[in-house]
Amino acid sequence: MEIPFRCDLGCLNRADGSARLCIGGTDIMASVTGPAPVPARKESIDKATIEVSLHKKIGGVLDNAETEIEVLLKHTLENCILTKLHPSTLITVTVQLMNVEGPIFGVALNAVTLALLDAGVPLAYTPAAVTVASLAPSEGAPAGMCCWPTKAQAEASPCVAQFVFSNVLPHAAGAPAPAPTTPGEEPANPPVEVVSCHLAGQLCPLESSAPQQAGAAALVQLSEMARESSLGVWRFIREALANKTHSA
Amino acid sequence: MDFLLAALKEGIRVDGRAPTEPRDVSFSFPHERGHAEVKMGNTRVLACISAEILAPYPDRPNEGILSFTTDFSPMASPAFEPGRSSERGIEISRVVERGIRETRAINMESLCILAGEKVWSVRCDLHVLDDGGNLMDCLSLAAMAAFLHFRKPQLSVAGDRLIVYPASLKDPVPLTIHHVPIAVTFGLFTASNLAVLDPTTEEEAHMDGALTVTINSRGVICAIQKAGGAPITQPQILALTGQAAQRAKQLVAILTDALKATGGPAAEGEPEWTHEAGLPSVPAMPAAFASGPPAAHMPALHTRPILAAPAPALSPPAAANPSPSPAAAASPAGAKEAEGRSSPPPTPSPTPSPTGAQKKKRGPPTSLRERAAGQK
Repeated sequence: MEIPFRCDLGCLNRADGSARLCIGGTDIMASVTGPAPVPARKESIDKATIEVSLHKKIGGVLDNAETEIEVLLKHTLENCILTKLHPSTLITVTVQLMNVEGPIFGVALNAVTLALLDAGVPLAYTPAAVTVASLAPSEGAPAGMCCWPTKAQAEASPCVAQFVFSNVLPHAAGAPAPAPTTPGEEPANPPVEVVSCHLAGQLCPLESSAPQQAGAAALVQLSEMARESSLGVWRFIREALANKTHSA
Repeated sequence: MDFLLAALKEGIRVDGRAPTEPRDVSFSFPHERGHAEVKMGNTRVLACISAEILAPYPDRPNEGILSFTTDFSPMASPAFEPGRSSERGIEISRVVERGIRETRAINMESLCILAGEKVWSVRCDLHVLDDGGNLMDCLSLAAMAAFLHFRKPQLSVAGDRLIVYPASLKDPVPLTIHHVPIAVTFGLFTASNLAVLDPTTEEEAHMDGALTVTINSRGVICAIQKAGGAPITQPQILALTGQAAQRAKQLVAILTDALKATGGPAAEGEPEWTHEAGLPSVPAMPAAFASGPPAAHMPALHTRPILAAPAPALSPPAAANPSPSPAAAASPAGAKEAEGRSSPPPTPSPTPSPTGAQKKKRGPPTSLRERAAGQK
C-alpha cells in the first residue's frame, strides 16, 4: 500500500520559509521565521534561540500531549540547526495543524524540515522523521508493522514509535573521505543516526515468555523499518527541493 | 514609501491594480465540512467551524451559542507574537465577529435543541496564515464561507433522550443562515484623495485611515468601522458603501460557485501541491530483518560501540585530545563492522571508561558539536 506524500513548498509569503506537507491524511503547515532580532529576555549570547509553537484547528489551549510535541520538536531542532552560527537571534517555528489523521509528530517534523530548507536556515543535517506502528494480529492478518499508520491503525496498535534520523555521520579527521556518490545514485544501506525517538505502548505482549528479548527484537524491527522508510523521506525532500528550484 | 504615495497621486497602485480593483479571491475546502481556506492575493486565512451540545446561557434559554476566536499566528507575520493579541488584532476580530453576530446572520433559535437544557454551541476558529494585507475582509469572508460549508448532525429527541445521528446514518444538515455579510475595506489616502479597495500590507502601512463596510449581497449595510484616521465627508462614505455593495455581491457570487462545486460529501478544492510522491507503507526490508526476531544477528544493544569504536590506526597522542570523537568516529565501514562482533572490541587509544561505549540515544551526536567547537 502506498502512502501519498504531498508537499507545497514556499506556500506563504511573509514567512522566511514555509511548507505544507500532507502524509496520508495528516495535513500540516509549518513556517520558519529567522534568524531575527530577539527580545532580551529570550536572548542567548552564544547561540540562536529556537521557539516552536503548535496551533490546533479548533480550540486554543494545548493539552499535555500537544505540548509534548512542541517540546520534542524544539529539542530536535536545537540539535539540528547550527545555532552557533547565529548568536543572539530568534528562530520562530510555527506549526499549524490543518487535518489530523494519525500521529502528528512525524509529519510535523518533516514539514518543519521542509520549511527550514525553504528558509535557508543552516542545518547540521537534514532530519527525517518516520512514524511506525506495530499491528496487533487480527483475523486474516498476522502481527506486523507499518509506517505512517492511519488514525484507526494507530489507535488499535499496541505500540507506536516516531523516529527522527540524521543523514550525516561525522567522519574522523584522518579517515579516508567517503566515496563521492554520483548525483542520482544512492549509496546502498547508508548509515544513519537516531536523533529523537518517541515510543509509546508495549513492544511485546505482557504475557510473553521472554519479554526482554522479544521487546528488544521488536524495537530493532521497528527501528529498522523506520530507517528504511526514512530513505524514502529523504528522497522526497530532495525531489521537492529540486522541483522548487526548477520552477522558481 | 515615497514611490507608493507618488504613484497613488497619479492613480496607480504599486501592484498595478486600479484603485477600485480588488485582488483575486480563491476558496478551498480540502478537509471536513466547515473547514474553509481563503486566499486574497497574498493574504491567506483558515476558518474552521465546529459544534457541540451544551447547556444554553441562563438568560437565553432558547438560543444557541456562537463563539469566535481569531488566532494571529506568528506564521502570518513577524509582527504577530505568540500569545496576546495586539490592538490591531482585537479590532480586526471584533469587526468580523460583529458583522456576523450582531447582524443575526446565523439563526440562533434554530440551534436550540431542548429549551433551557441543550443547545448547539457553534464555534468559529479563525487562523491567519499569511498577512498580505486586508485581514478584515479575508477573515469575514472565510468565516461566512465556513459557516455556509458546515453541516451539523441530525438529531432526534425522544422524551429525555437525545439521539445524535452519525453522518453514516443520516446526512448532516446546514446551519440556518439568513444572509451573508461580508466586510469590504478601503484604505484612505488624503494626499491623492483616493480610497483604494483591498489594500495590501504596504498600502496599509502608509494609508492615512481606513473604512470598513460590512454589507451583504442585497446591499444591506450590516456594520461600519472607521476608527479615527483621516476624516472624510458623508457623500464620500456613501459612495464607498455603494462600491462595497458591488464588491460584496461579486464575492458572494464567487463563494456560491465555489460551494456548489463541493456539492457532495467528498472534499473539494485540494490545495495546490508543488510535489507529490507515494511511499510504501511497509518498505522492502533487507533480508536479515524480514523474518522473525533476528536475535542472533544483532549485538546486544548496550554494547553497540558507536561512540567509542576504535580506529586501530590511531596513534597514542590521541591522549592529548580530551574528546573521544576522533577515535570514536572511525569511518562508517569500521563502525558497521563493529556491529557484527558480539564482544566489545579492544580500544588501543586511551579513550574514557567503558561507559563511553554505551550508545546514548538521548544525547546529540557529540562528534559534530566537537568538530564545530574545534573549528572555532
